[in-house]
Amino acid sequence: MQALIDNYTAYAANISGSSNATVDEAFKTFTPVSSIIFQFDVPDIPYLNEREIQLLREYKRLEDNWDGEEAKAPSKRALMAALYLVKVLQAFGQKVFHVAPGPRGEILVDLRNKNKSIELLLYEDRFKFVRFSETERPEQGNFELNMLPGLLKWLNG
Amino acid sequence: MGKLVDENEWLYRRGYASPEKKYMNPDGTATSRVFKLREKEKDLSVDVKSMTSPETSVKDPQKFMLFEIAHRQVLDLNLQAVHDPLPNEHNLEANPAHALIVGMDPEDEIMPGLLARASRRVL
Repeated sequence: MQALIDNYTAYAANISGSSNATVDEAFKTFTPVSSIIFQFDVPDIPYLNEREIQLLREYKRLEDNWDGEEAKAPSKRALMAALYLVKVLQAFGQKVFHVAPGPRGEILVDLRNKNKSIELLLYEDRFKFVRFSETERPEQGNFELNMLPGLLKWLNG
Repeated sequence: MGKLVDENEWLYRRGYASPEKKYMNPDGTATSRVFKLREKEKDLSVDVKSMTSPETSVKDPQKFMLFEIAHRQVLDLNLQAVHDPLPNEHNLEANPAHALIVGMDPEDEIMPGLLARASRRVL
């Protein structure tokens, strides 16, 4: 059973509409990607996060000092991971509120639902998450892809 | 460290928003990245509202949006703003309204989000 779970590749299968090479590279970015079982039915909403996907493609063109205040150009690894993540979220019917570049080369992927929000911060060398809620203390930690189901359950719960 | 900014003051922080302002949230609010320390920064640059104007603080409204946050809310987050007037040197204009929000940790991702959520857009 564990071997089946560890070899589970639903993500790649579901989002392989674009370049497979890109998807595979992004998939590796999140390694180890194992023991992932989503608890959601997968709605078919192919253009749900199209705006965010387009923005990420535009952010690829940003260079150092893109804001005139010495911001670093977005990290290629962060961009690749963000693109992959947004497509995964789209495949699972989760609207992304916004994506934005940060001053340290990171990419912000912002998810919101009523009074809750999750920020995924994708840096060159680390991925982090922050949970914000009007009723709970904010919480942050390192992010791995296998945490996504739990985070979405919290966001939409 | 400079003198503490009065707790009843408001602070301006600008964020890059050009072209088409898509670096900000779709509803026009600031992203947490507006309040994230840059690699060379130890503290967050702001302007003291009573000592400047929105137009002066934003410098270029075609490229930047301006947000304001109450110093009291900054203090509630266990941070504080101190005066840090900038002289006219290094080809930079003097900015007597300049201040710094001190106490931020570059590795902390919560505080930029809280500051952004406590801010509101001015320009």
